[in-house]
Amino acid sequence: MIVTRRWLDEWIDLEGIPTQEIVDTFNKIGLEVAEYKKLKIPDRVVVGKVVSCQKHPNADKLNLCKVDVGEETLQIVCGASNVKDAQYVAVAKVGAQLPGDFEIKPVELRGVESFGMICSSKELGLPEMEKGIMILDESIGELIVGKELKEYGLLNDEVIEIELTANRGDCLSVQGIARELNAVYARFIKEKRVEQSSSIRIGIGRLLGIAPEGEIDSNLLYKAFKANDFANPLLIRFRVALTGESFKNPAELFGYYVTHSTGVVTRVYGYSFFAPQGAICVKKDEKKYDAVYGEGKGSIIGVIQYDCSKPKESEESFIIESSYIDPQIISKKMYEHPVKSDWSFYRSSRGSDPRVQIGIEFAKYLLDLYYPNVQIYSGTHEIMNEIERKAIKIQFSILYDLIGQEIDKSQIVEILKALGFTIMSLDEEAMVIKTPIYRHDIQNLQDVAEEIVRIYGIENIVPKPLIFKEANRITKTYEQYQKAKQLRYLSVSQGFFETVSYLFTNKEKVKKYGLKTLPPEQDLLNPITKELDTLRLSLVPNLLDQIIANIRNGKKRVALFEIGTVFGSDREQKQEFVLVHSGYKEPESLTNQGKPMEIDFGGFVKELAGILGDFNLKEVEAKHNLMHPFQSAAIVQKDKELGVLYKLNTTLQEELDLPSTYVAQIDFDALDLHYPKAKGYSVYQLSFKDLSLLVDKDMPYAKIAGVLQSAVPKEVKRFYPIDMYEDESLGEKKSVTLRFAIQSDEKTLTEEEIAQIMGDILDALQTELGAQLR
Amino acid sequence: MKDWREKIQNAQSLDEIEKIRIELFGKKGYFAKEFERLKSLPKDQKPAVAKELNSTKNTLFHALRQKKEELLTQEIQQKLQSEKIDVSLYSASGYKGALHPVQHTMDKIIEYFTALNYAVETGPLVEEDFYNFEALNLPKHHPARDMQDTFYFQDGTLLRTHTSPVQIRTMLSRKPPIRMISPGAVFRRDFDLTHTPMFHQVEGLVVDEAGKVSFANLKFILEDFLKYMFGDVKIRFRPSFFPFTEPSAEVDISCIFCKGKGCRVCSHTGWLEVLGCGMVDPNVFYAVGYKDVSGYAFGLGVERFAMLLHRIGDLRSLFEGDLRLLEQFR
Repeated sequence: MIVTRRWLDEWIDLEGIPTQEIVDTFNKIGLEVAEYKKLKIPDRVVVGKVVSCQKHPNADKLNLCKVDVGEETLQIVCGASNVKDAQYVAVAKVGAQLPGDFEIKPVELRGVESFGMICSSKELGLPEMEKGIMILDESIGELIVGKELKEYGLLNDEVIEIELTANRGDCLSVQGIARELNAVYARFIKEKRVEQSSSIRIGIGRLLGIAPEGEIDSNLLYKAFKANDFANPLLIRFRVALTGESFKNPAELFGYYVTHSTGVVTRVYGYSFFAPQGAICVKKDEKKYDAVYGEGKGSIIGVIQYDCSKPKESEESFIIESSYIDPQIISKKMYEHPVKSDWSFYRSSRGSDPRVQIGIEFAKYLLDLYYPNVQIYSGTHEIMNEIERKAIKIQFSILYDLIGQEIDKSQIVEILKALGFTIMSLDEEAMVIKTPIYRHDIQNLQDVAEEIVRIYGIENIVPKPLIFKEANRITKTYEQYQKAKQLRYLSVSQGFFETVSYLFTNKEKVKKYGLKTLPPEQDLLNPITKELDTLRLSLVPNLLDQIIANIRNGKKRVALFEIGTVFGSDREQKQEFVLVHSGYKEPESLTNQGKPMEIDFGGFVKELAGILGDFNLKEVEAKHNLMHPFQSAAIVQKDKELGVLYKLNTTLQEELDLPSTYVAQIDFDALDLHYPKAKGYSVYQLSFKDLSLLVDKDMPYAKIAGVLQSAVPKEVKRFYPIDMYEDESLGEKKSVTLRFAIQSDEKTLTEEEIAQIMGDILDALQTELGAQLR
Repeated sequence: MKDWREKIQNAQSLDEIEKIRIELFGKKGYFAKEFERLKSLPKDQKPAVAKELNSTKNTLFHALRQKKEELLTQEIQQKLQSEKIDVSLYSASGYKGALHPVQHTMDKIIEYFTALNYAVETGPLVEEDFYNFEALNLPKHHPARDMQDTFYFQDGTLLRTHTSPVQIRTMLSRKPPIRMISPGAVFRRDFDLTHTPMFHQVEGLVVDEAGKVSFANLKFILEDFLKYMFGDVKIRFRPSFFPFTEPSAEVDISCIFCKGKGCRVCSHTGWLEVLGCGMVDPNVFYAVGYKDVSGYAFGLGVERFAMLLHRIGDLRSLFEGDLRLLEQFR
């Protein structure tokens, strides 16, 4: 919503209050100021009168003008097509500095000298109103040839843009904003009405009738006037341009100006549209909107006016309509049966001012003030429904509890009255008030409390701590959050960077990776771009994208992780924990002579173990194109599968131009944060024995471990592989060296006893796996 | 004697000392010979010479031991010195990763509210219209729905546009008094310089019996919270509008960049908008079947906080995993 200082001045007496203070006040009372700027026409731009205007002798599109600027008459070459003899225009004299660092100098144009420039509004830093130069008229004040244009206050106005919240339809007008200021400053609101000085004695009924048909929800008021060459004065065109709107039809612009000023939705129809029927026909259209008919459908009340009913250029008689329709009715209607709308719908759906007579009165006032040759018919046509004002009972104790402190009752009454409320009754405990007719948003006590609070000033409310009942508020969500937090900190200490990626991903890409996607019936109806056209079922594709981007940026070591929401193929929500490490194993440093190794399987496992703790790896088949068929493993912790760990498939890795890349995809929900229970421990000698075995080349370690698991006696506390060796000399065998930690809980074992244990182990391996001692 | 002393003093190594020791005290050494010679002396001279000899022996023995210790210390010193490295070469850099600024900011926010005994609650990202709009006093034709461009699914569900549906879910699953926050991702169909289709919010809700929770309480908690997050800033409440709270307010802090003087970041206003809040609208309580209660609610954008706290200029860069940005938060 755009207002200007001078526009406001027309509606409320703000004398002596600086505009900056008004801006601050707006912010304080809930009208957020988005922008505040002062317009200023540059020096040496003056009012000029064109005394002659001829074609340029050497150029078809240029005009050669003589312009009276007071102390002299200047010869100016002007390229605008709308320049005419006897016009008042804005002349930038030599030496004027126009916006955009443009200084006016004497120039020669096609052999003719030119001393100055006739300006368009845009060239002066004002909004664009029409093609060509700005033609001045006395709506901005008495035109005195030679007078500096910066002296005309109505053009050098201060513009305030207010970002209105959706509930404040009543503030979509200059009058509405003035009303808000009145509540703060208690200044006088100016009435806008005139006695019918220029009216015709003939009543509107002699021109046309009104023919309502069936039930009508709207309130409508019509007035007619006669005019030759209807054109809007500069001030009105200027202000409409400031609001950012533009209209081809001058009568529509006039209606818009009335609407923007009063808050009453006002339009102008051409009489010729109704002439054949001789009446304004109002009825429900096929979608049950209130519509106005003449020769066809002319408008939908509160929604749109069609071109056919707008006044034509030759039009001599005009019908003004001020209308109101309940915002609830119209927005619900639009939701159920959407139709094309114009500027009026925004206002009517947020609640325009129902006092239609104010719109008509203001239109009359404007016509009388600025439009010569206008004659207004007496009388009006109307369709009226009673609008009920809501009564609300305010119990003071409830009000005070809500706000957190008491406010003086007389102050409350004063605030509400200034905002247009009517006090129906008032006693010690409570009062009953009626809401202003234009405040559709006020329904209950809390709405009224808001009105009081915003005018009283939130800064005047003293903050108070809330005394609350002690309770255990540790929820499952909090525990999950703590678990994630722990994993996040551990990942960071292993050199991984936390990342956040979109919940969306690209379906085509995911398919290419051979990963699952959502079935089409579960997918987004209205994705924002093709790149993000589906929900992710895994974090991996997005993280991979980020890895690729970082490698392209020249990063040598990229290690990222994310804990985030993913979906199952039935769109059920899950949490996934993904880590990806690509490129160098560690930073370049002295210890690796600046040439770190690339990350490898063992190195990635080590990083992961620093985060997850001990786990076992189990060979798995590659389930999709990202997984390396021979370097993929299930991560098993305490007999529970947590997820998979794999090298990025080398083919894909090369295609994506990536260095060695490893991925861990972990089911966050399967991870346990456990409290371990301590056990007793042996105090006797711990011995280590190594065993080098020759086994078949393709025998996985898991198989050896499986046999040992059941074969070793309780004295073997731990065993683990420490070397694996293949060589031609070993033929179809490989050498595996295992280390055993041996300790008894009861005594120190003798060498013989240890040898016995190792012998038994070897026997078992020989029988079960055909392993030989190397 | 003097010669021996000098010899000991001039010894350069432990080996040399050992040689001198053998020369002096060995079986065939100097003192062995001298004491041997003692035997052939007349009886009356023996005690005096023996005393003299013993005293010399003692002196040299001590001198020798002292020198040996001295050399030993020197040798250890040399050994240690030979192990000297240039520690400055080993300055560590690039080993630790970093938390994401948005998540880290979220941690800080959660830390504050959990310390004040707020519960942490959550809800689904794919929401039903009822929880996301209807129950929050946003009926289907409400103009305020325009403010939130929504992602929809065929079955009429949607991606939640704010964390507020968690308010409704929590109120339906628990009984008052309620004191909760709900952090999480939210989604709007908006993608430009200052909007991303996904961002994060933290929602807060407090509900207690009628007449207990006031706007003054809301003001108290938010003023304290913002001072915790941003330090010594001025705080301003501006009346505003949200369909689910009444009265509603937006909360500004004095610009942390220009200290309120006016700069580009605060659009020369001196203020930064950081929060929305208000007293829970009776229609919301009605939707969840609560009677005779009072409460406040607030909501904030985590990215906004993170960008202010970490001086990050570009919102979109937060979702790109770009190490050029993330490495700065190590």
